[in-house]
Amino acid sequence: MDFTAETSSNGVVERTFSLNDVTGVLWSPAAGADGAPLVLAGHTGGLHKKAPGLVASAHHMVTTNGFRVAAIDAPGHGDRPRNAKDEQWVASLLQARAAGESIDPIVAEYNSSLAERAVPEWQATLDALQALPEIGTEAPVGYGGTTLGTAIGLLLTATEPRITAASFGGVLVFDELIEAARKITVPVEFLLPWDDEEIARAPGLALFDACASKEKTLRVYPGRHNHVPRYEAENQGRFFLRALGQAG
Amino acid sequence: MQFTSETSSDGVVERGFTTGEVTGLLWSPVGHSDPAPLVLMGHGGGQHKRAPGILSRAYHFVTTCGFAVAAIDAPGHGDRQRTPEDEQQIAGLRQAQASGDFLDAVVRYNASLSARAVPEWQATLDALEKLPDVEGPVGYWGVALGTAIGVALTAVEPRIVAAVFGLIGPESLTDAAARITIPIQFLAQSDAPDDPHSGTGLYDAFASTDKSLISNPAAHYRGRPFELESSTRFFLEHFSTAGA
Repeated sequence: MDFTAETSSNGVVERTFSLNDVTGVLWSPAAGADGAPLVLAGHTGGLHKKAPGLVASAHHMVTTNGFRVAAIDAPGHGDRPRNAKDEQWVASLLQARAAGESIDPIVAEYNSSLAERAVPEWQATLDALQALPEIGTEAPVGYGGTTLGTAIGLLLTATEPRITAASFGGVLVFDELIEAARKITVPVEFLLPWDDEEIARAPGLALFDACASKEKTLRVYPGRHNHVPRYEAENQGRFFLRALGQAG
Repeated sequence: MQFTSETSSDGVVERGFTTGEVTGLLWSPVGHSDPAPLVLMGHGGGQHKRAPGILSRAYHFVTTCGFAVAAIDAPGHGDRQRTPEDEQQIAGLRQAQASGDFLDAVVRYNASLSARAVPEWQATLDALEKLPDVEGPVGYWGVALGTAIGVALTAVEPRIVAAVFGLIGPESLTDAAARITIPIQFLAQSDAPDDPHSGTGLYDAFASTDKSLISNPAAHYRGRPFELESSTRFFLEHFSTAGA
């Protein structure tokens, strides 16, 4: 893992890094405790590791909880080039949207491919983060993300025992995600947008129901997936604090 | 309103009162002289104003926020006599339990209780607001029967500025819910055997732009106070925007 830049503002140190062809960012408290919990943050489809919503919630997690937060660009997102197949998916997505056709089958196929590629990338990133002395292998690890970040996170959490709590959001549900949810037993919360023309309610409820965790909470909010109310960012911070523990 | 008893423990004064034939309890902070916002609490079916779920939450609201909290017995519940109509409805409930028509019978009984309880709550609120201890915004907290009564009350009572409901969502409450525009927090049970995510239909019906639904498996609520903390924050936030 190579650190490529470091800046700091408002008590938050931001370090960008690369690991092979994966580009990422690590946010830490300026005076962070060694071994503080680490939250892996997955961005939404079409965005990147430093999308404004992700940065805001990462800063909240760092300043309020004293946690560290890491985000990486999904394949073909942010600083990473798209391959030819990705280009095709994005083109058909835009085409379907413009034509008023359902984007569901394209998103399911594209997200499934991205998630399959992203899971080993996240695992390698976690290996590298745990090799940093301030993180180590004892720091509790959580995962948070919505839409594409949820698709990747469900597959990752189902196969990665180091993740001990996860926060998911609105996502276009396909079979692999339901199967992954059935394997998840760590404490989870799901945020579900109630009025989103691209994310239906019933599959969201079915995904929550499929999750095998004993400790699970569904939080429904009005509007579209990208209109997450401000209090839900605070709820997410409190969820991780309960599930991962205090920093230091 | 007549006060009939007064005790205090753990920093909370509990006063029993009656207004007409309605029996109620008012909890407030010991030695608290400033007027405080008020939370009205509606108990569940077959329970009463001092049921454990009411008492523990009332104490929490008083001790952590300094609110005044009031609960009254629903008609035919707690210290109140059942009318012949109540007796008939309860006999009907028992029969329905045997024949598998229980949920419909509960909805009918709740509707009858609610029609009587709404004016009782309004008279109680009139009386409570005359007390020097109570001033400012009013909230409502009630699940199950407490929701049946609370939704009907909130639809017609502009003094209520924020409400927590949950656990049930019969279609009979949809029209009242559609008239409600205040902030709502709705507590649901994701693994309710007869109605998974109990009440999502009712949640959908509220006209409020600020409404959240929190659904947990039943086992998740036991001994875990954090949804109470989330209701506490909900009242604090909306009482302060209402100018408490």
